[in-house]
Amino acid sequence: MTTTQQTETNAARVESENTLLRIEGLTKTFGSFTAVDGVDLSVPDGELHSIIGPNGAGKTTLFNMIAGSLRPTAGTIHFRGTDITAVDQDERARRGVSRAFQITQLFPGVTVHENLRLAAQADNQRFNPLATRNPDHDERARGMLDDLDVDARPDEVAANLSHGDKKKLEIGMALVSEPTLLLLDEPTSGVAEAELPALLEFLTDAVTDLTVLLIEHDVDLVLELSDRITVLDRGEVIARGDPEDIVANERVQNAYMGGY
Amino acid sequence: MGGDESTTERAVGATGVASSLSVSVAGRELSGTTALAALGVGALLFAPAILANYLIQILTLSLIFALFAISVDLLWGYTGILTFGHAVFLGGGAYLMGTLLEAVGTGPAIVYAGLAAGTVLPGLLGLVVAGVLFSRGISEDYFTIITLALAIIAEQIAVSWSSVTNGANGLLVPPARVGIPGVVATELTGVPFYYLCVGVLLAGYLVARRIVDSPFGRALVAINENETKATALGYDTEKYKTLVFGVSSGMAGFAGTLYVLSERFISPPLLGFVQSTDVLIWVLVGGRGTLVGGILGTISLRFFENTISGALAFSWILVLGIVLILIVLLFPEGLVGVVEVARERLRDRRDDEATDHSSDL
Repeated sequence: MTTTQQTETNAARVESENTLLRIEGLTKTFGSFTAVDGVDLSVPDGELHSIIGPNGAGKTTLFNMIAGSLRPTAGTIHFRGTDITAVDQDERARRGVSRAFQITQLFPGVTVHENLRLAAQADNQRFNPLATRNPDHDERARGMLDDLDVDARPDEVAANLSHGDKKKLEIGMALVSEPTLLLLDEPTSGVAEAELPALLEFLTDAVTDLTVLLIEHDVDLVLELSDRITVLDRGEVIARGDPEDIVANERVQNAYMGGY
Repeated sequence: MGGDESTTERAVGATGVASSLSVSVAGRELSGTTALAALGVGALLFAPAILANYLIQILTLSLIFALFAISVDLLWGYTGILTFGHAVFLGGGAYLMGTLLEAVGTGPAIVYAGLAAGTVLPGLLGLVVAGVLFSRGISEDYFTIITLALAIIAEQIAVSWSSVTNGANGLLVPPARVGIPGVVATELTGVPFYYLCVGVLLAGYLVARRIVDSPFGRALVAINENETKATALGYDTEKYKTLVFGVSSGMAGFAGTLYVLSERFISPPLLGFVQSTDVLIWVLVGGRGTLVGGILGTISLRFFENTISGALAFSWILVLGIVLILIVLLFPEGLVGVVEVARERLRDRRDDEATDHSSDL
């Protein structure tokens, strides 16, 4: 515990200069059930910060509040120094908070290329119904498609993709708008063993210059990728630190590994 | 591919022929859509030479309704907003134009004012209605129910407000004159008015095509496909839906003003529920989300209605109903889908023939 507290105070000292995301006392209750309970979290620029915890620990609820699809019951969220607690989800996305969903959310009826193009276009909204398309968005979609290395052809309809390709496309759509903060919710869940190495290689490449919040069940992957880890249990933070701290932490061993 | 290589081995000349064949096939394929479009426009242009006057009159009204159908397709086909009350805007435009012609005058200036007011005011009304409803985070199902209520209310207002609308008897409108205000003014009827409507529909189609191909229009498709994702990506979906509803309402209002110029008579059902569902059927039968489907569906169904109702005075609605169910069950993509399938079959057969020929050589 002392190591965890020490890391936290260290983090607090760095915070003022380059904190990208700062969460204070974030709480969400559904009726009498408290899903997220007074969570503090501060993520400096460029960090890959993982949120782990047993099922029902409140990880996805926390993500929903950061992305803006869920309003917190209490607490504040600051992004790049501004309070965004009351800012709408779409506005947060345009400001650079991007999210890849655990259950892929695609535009199933349009092509792979168009999925990416629509994601690239979302940042600068045009309300002129007669405007022409920006070729830059096409180019960014094409570039992302090359990086993603999906098996499907660019003109394949997204609904027809394999699960692995859908997963990649989901992440690609979150990345193509060049976000400042990427929320990655279980990027490897449901991906076949054979497709995993390629996806991981792509992921590690894609997120090097990014600030990332990661929810992931694969503990090895989390320990390998993360700069810091926050452990949630029943909505509360029970531990925080770098991967070595977390592995050594007894409470984590009990709560998390036990609940596995 | 293996077959191509063996052909090359046999004779260079033969591959030359084969490749030129495939190029011409590809060329034909590319121009296929253009050819179909040209055929359609050509048919509309030559129709007055073939069809009797009363059929041209029916067709004129069909073209106007087709514009209305396009406005509905923008909402339902592209954005996924189902409305049971779009005739409110069609009828709104019609009553505006009709009241102006009846109460103020029939000169060109009035007509142009009517066209403008009959477009802009329904458009603004649409913006307000959609803006209020969507900003309250209302779900699309409830939105649909409310549009249904609007249609019922609007029709009732048209019935009750008889000092302006002449109630259920309907409003007879004097013939309008077009031209240059204060210089030339002439009545526009019959075939010339038909050609005007052909031009207007074509222009309306091109504007709608431009809208759906624009970044704005693509955002509508994104909303239709997955609104949760569209919002997560940064699209202000409320604003997009409100705006397209306004544009669509304006377009419907404009079609309404033309309706009055064509029919010179308006009665309350024009802004009611039945008129609002008729247009949904036209769009559905023609093919949702294609724009051209709305045109095809409107013209063919209205033609069918008008011919069959003469032959089967009482049972035609029954026949129409059965035909509709069959179309929806067998061709969920509508008439446009049927054309697509036919073209694909044709292409396959042509490809087969092409390979047959090359193996003969």
